Amino acid sequence: MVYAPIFFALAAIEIILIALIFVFKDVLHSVLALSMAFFFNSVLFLALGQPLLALIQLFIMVGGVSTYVFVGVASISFSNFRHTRFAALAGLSVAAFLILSYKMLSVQLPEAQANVFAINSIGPAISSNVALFYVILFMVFSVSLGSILLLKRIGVKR
Amino acid sequence: MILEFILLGFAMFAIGISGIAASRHFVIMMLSVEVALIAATLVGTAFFYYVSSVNILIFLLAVWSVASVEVLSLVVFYRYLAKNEVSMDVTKLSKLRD
Repeated sequence: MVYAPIFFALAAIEIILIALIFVFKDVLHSVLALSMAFFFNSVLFLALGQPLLALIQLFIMVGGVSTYVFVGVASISFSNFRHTRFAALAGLSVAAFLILSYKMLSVQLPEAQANVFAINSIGPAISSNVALFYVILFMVFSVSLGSILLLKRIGVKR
Repeated sequence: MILEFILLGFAMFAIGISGIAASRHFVIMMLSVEVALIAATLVGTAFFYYVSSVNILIFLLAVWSVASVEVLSLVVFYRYLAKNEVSMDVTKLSKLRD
């Protein structure tokens, strides 16, 4: 069976990438390792038999979160970034991501047959918890506005 | 095979928590929180197979929104600290009172 070796390879890559976050000295390299870990976490969701959750994870974590961190935090050290080594590492990681996700797309876990999320299960999942959904939205906007106002207040005091 | 996913999630969560505990750099601590959050999504989705009556999607939406909010506050605070040339060491954040 080809499933178990690929899973253990994925787990090893994920653990190594997460450990690399703390090994690298530069913040930019840590953020790169974190985005690669997000990539392989979405492949792990594919291995769980949940392609929709993997897609949402990819959109939110890689497309939103790591891009925002990359531009907002790591752009300060862009000037002293050695492109050659880490561009090769990033290219290798994306190639491994494509190969492994292609292998994992046809996976059907026996335990997963009854519980696969489809695109039409998003509506019932949210509509049965509308209050929680609004709480999440309220939390997002209040924390963002609160942090900006707090920093403006600190800035005025200085 | 689900057990291996749960063990992997536990390992990732342990690495994230130990990263928060061991690191003093502000950005690295926030990235460790991200690692702990994605471990939580993995463990939650793996547990979903045992408790099939629970809808995991709203839990995942909550976790993803917490991750987004945390990154937003990370970028805002990082920009502020970098602009005022305060050290990223969290033990020196009391200089912000001055």
